[in-house]
Amino acid sequence: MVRGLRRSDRGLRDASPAPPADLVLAGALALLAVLAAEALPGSLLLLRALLALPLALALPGYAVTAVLFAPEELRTAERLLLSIALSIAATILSALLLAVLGVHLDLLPWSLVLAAVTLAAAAVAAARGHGRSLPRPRVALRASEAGALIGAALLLSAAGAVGFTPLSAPRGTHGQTALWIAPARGGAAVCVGISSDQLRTTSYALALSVRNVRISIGPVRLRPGATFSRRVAVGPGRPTVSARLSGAGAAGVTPVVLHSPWRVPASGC
Amino acid sequence: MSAATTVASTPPAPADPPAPARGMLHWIILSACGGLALVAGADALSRTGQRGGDVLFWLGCALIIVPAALRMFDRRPSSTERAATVVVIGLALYGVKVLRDPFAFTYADEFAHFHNLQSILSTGRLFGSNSILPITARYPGLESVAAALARLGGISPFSAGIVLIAVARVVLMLALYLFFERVSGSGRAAGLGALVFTATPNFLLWLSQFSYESLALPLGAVALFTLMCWGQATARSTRRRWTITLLLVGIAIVPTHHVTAYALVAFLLGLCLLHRQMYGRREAPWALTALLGVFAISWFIFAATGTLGYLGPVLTKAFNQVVSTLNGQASTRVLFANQGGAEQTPRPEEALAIAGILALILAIAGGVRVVWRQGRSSPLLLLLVTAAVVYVGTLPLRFVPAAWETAARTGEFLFVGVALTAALGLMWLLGRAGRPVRFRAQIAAAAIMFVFASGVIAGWPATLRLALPLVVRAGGRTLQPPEYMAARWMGAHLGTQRVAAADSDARVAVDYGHQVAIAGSNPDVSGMLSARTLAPWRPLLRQNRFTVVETDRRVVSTDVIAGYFFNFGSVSLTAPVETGKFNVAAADLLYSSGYINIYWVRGLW
Repeated sequence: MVRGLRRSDRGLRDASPAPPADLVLAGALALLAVLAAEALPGSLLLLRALLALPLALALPGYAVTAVLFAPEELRTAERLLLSIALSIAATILSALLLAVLGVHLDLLPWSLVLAAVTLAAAAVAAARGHGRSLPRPRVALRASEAGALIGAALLLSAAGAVGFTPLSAPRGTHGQTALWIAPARGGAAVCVGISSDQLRTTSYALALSVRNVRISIGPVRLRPGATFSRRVAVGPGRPTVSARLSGAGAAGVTPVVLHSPWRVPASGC
Repeated sequence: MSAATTVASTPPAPADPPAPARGMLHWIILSACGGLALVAGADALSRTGQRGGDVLFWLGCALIIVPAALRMFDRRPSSTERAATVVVIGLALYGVKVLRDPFAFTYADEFAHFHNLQSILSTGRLFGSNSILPITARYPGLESVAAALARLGGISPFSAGIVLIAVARVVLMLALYLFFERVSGSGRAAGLGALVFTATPNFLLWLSQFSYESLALPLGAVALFTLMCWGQATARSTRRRWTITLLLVGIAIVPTHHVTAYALVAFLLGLCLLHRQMYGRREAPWALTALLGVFAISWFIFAATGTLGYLGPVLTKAFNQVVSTLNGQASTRVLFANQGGAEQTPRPEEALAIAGILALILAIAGGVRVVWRQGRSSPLLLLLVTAAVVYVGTLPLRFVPAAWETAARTGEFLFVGVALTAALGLMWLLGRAGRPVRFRAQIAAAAIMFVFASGVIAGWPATLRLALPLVVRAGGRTLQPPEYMAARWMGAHLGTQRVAAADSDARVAVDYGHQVAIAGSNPDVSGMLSARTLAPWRPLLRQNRFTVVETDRRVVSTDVIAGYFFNFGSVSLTAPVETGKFNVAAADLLYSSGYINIYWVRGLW
C-alpha cells in the first residue's frame, strides 16, 4: 500500500498549483520600488528609475491580471498588454482616490498605494492558484543575430548622440540682447540688467537717466548666454528712470523706462 | 446564439505556440535603428540650417517601414514575431518625433499638458488651472501618470512625458495587433493592419506628442481588444472577468480624454444596435455600454462641465463652415496649407499624398468586398468596415478650413477600421493575380510605404517636419530663443502675473515663466496686440486684470506650430505701431530684446 502513490493521489499531486514565484517576485519588486524611490540618492538616478518606474507601469497591472486570469488563459503578449494597461489604469485611479481623500500626490503616499494594490492583488491571485513558476531565462542567439542587435545598439546610440547634442546655430541666426529694469528691494534703487543671447561675445554700454542725471555703466562684455545686472541707487521719491543700451548687439533694443510712481513689484538684482 | 458567433465571429487565438523557427526580428530592429540614425542626421542638417534633410528623412522612414512590411506580408512569421515587429516599428516611429524635439516639448498642446504636469508636481493636487487650454486640467489622466513617473523615478517632467508616451506607443501597437488578430483570425492581416495604422496622418507627429489623446487612444485600443475577448468568451465566469477588465480600462479612459471616452461609448452603442438588428437584443454588451456611458456622463457633470463649452464651438463652427462652403459662401481651404493658410508642401509631395490616398481608398474597397463576402456575420467587423467607409467620406472635409481640424482629429479613431479593412483588401488584391509570392510582398511593402508617406505629408507641414533650432551651442554655452529668455525673466522678476501675449509666446510664458498667460481671440488678446491704437482696449485689460503685456513683432509668434524656435534669415515683422502703442506714461517698458517687449500695464486700468 505504501509502495508508490495511488493513482488518485498521483492525480491530486499533479493537479496542485505551481508555486506563485511570479507573484512573489511582483510583490518583492513593488516593495523594492518604494524603497528605491525613497532612499536612492540622485547620483543613482538610472538605478532608481529602473527599479521604481515599474511600480506605475507594470507591477500593479501584472498582479491584477493574475487575479482575473489563470496563467493558461492568456498568451504572453496579452498578459504583457494587460499588465501595462491595468498598471496605467491603477496609477490614474490611485491619483483620483488620493485627490478625493485630500491627500497630496507626494511620493510616499502614492507609492504606498500602488505597492498596496500590487501586494493585495498578488495575494489574491496566489490564493486563487493563478501563480506561475518563473521560467529559467534562456538566451540563445546565433552570431548573426547577436551581430545585428549589437549593430542596432550602435546605430541607436549614434542617433541619440547626434539627436540629443545641441548643435551650432544656422547661418544668419538672429541673436538677441535683452535690456531690463525693475525696482530693487529695499527701495530708492533700481535693478538694471543685460542678458545676451548673441552668438559671440559682445560689448555693451549702458546709460541710465534719473532726474536729468546721466549714469553710464560699462563697457560690459558678455559671452553668449551670460547676464549682467547692477543695483543703482536713484535717491528718494521713486523717480522716473530710463535705461538705454548701446553696442553691437543693441540694434532694435528699445530703451526701457520705469515711470514714477513705481507700480511694479520690487525684485532682486 | 452564443457570443462566439455574434459579437465576435472568429475563434479565439490559440495559446502561445511552441518555439518558432528563427525569425527576422533582429534584422528588423537593425533596420529600424538604421532608419533612426538617418532621421537623426536629417534633423541635424535641419537644425543647422542645411539642405538635404528631407532625403535622409524619407530614407530613414523607408528603412523603418519597408522591411517590416515585407516580413508582415510573409506567411511564415509567428504571432509573437509579428507582435514584436509592430511594437518595434511603433517605437521607432515614435523615435522620429523624439529626435525632432529632443530638448523640450514644442507642440501647441504639449505646452498645456506640460503645465498641468508641473502644477501637479508643485502643488500635489489635480485639477489646477490652465490658461492655455483650460479643459485639459479637468482630464488629468495623462499628467497623473507622468507625475507618478517623475516622482517615483526622480526624473524630470520632460523625461517622464517621453517615457510615458513611449509606453503608450507600445500599448497602442500591441493592442491593435492583438485586436486585429482576434477580429480577422489572421496574424498576417493583423500585422499588416497595425502597419497600415501608422499611415494615419496624425500618427507620426501628432499622436506622438505629450497630450491626453496620445494616452487615451492606446487605452481605447486595449478596450477594443478586451471587448473582442469578451465577445469570444463562452463561459459566463470568463466573460465576467473580461467585463471587469474592460470596465477598469474604460474607467481609466474617461478622466484621460473626453473624445476618446465618448468615441468608445459611441462605438459600443453602435455595436449593440447593430447586434440587435442582426441577432436580437441578447449577447450584446448593453450593460458594459451603459456603465461606461454613465461614468462618462458623471465625469462630465461632476468634474468637467467645461467640455461642452470646449467641444461645442469647434463642432458648431465646423458644421457652419461646411454649410457655407457647400453654398459657395466661403472659400475652400488650400490643401497642405499651414496654419496661416499658406501652401508649403512641394508639388511632388502633394502628388504623392493624393496618390497615396487613392491607393488607400482602393485597398479599402477591396477590404469592404472581403468583409461583405466572408465576414458580414460579425457586427464588430461590420462596424470597423463602416468606420473605414466613413473615413473616406470625411476626406472632402479637408477642403473646409474649420472642418479640416475636426476631420483630422476624428481620423485616428476611424483609422482603426481603415487599417484592418485596407489590410484585408491589400491581401485580397494581391492574392488575385497569379504573381509569385516574392513579387506580391514587395508590392505590398511599397504600397504600405506609399500610404504611410501620404499620411505624413497630409498630417504636418513640410517645412516643420524636421527639427528646428530650439537649443543652439555658442561660445561654449547653450542658448534658447528670445521668448524663452523673456519667459524666464518674467518668472524671476515679476512673480506670477496675468499676461496678455501672442499664441506661442503665451505658451512659453506659462511653462517656463510660470505665468497665467492668455492668448487668442477669447478674450480678444490677438485683436489688442495687432491694433494700432490702445484706448479701445483698456476695458479688455481691466476686465481680464492683465498686469503684463508681452508684445512680439515677429509674425511667427502667432503661429502655434512654428513660433518656438530661433529665427534665421529674413524675419517677417509686424508694423512698429502695433507694439509701440504701449509706450505711454501709464505703462512701464520693463524689458526689451529687439523683437519682444514686456510692459507693466497695471497703470492703464
